[in-house]
Amino acid sequence: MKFLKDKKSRILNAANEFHAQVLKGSDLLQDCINDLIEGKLDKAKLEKVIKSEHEGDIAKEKYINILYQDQRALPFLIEDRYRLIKYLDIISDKSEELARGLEVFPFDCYDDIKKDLKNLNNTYEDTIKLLIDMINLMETDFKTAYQKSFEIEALKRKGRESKFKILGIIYQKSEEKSLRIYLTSKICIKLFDMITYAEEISDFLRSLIVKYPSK
Amino acid sequence: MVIWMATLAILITFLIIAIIIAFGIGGNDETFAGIYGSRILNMKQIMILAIIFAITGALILGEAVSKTVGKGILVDLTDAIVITILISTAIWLILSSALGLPISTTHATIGAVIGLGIGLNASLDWLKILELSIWWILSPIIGYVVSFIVFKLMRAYKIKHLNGFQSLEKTEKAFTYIVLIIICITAFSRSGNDCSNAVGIVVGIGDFQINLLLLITGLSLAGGLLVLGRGVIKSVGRITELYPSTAFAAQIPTAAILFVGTALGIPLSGSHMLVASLVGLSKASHTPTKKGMWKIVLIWFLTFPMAAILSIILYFPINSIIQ
Repeated sequence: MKFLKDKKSRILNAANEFHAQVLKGSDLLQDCINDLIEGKLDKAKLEKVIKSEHEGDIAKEKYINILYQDQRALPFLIEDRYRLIKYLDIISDKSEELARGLEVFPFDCYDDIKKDLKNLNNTYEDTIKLLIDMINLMETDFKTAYQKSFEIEALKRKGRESKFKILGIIYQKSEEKSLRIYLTSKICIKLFDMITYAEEISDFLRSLIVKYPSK
Repeated sequence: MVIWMATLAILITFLIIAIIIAFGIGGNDETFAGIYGSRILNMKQIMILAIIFAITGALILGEAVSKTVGKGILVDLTDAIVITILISTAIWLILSSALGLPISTTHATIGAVIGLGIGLNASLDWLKILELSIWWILSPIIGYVVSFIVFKLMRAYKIKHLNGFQSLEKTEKAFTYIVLIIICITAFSRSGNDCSNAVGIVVGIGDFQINLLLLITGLSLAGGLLVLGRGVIKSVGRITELYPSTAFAAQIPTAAILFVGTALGIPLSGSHMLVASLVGLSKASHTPTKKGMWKIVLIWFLTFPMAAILSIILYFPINSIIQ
């Protein structure tokens, strides 16, 4: 029995390690974008985001190996967990992509969008945090996890508002250099993409809660 | 010497017939469909278990179970009639198994009996046939309703008790063991029952080493399972999305009803009940059934006339050989 418990805790530890890496990546990216807003973008920090994605990949591989080594595990739960791993990995990849973009094309942020971009950035960070929280809750508490999915939905709506507010401002800057407008919009769109993707993952989790009847 | 040779030839012929019958029955055995569908075991593991239980069931239970094919429907039963019924049933079983479609062995047997009755102008107990027909219609209905109700009850239990992947995993694992144990017992007893259909025709003919005969029949059942049975198991197991708990809901209550029905002398069809219970399950859980269900229904309708036609065609050559 002890052996089985060890196996279970190994899976949970591996999952937590991977989730922590995803969260770390989003934390670092949020930090970098805040730096961009304040005009002090640090390339070393961007490197950390990229490094964090690699570390996430290692944690992911470890998690997958442990998951599939468990001969007694139920196939449908392995598949659900694997799907979740793939989805979260995409968020990590998107974070890394954005960090790489900032490394290649650093630019000055417009003053009049700073507040909204900060809001969008915070919403992105909050969404990922909430998503990881929801994923952890899926193990022991479907009901609370289900409620979290609606909070994520609300965050998405908030993020959408910030996104269009920013786009509305920058697309009117006709006299400005088009590259700066393009890069600002790109950041804004990519941040919102990640929020949307996180919301889609929460939808998937919600469908699992409905599929497996529970309290 | 000539008589001895002739007896040996007859024994070998009957043994081959017994092997074909056992092969046909084994090939259409869908007992492990729930285990396959819910992925408790993979096909390789299922085959190993199925073969073990086919052989041990035949060896341990085969001798004790005796069957009188066609008794109560066809008034005059001769050896030729019994063999014709069994061969026609086996051929139809093999054909449907080759298509991966589950049919009722009883249904095919009775079809052959009636075919012979009509073909030979023998007296048939139509009242008995009517009674059987009612149960053929009722079998899938019972299967459907029972699994539907059991699923709903289980869902209510889950809603009350489950909370999160961990408790879900714990519950599903418990069902895994329950389903596995009960299906293994079913496979074991079914093998004993099935092999008697095949063994019965040889036992009466000569002084056979019964254990050797049972072993041969068990191996033939296992051979049928291995060659054709996997197709049927896959086909039935994939009718709808299954988990250990839903496999339990579909398979165990119907197996219990079948057991009680058999004890009470009610000729329920296990295959019909199982397929219908899987459909009932898919309706109760709002999951789609696989495409091609019409093929299973069509073969059920075809079983009766086809077994009857086969028995009429086969009777005269078999009768002339035996005489």
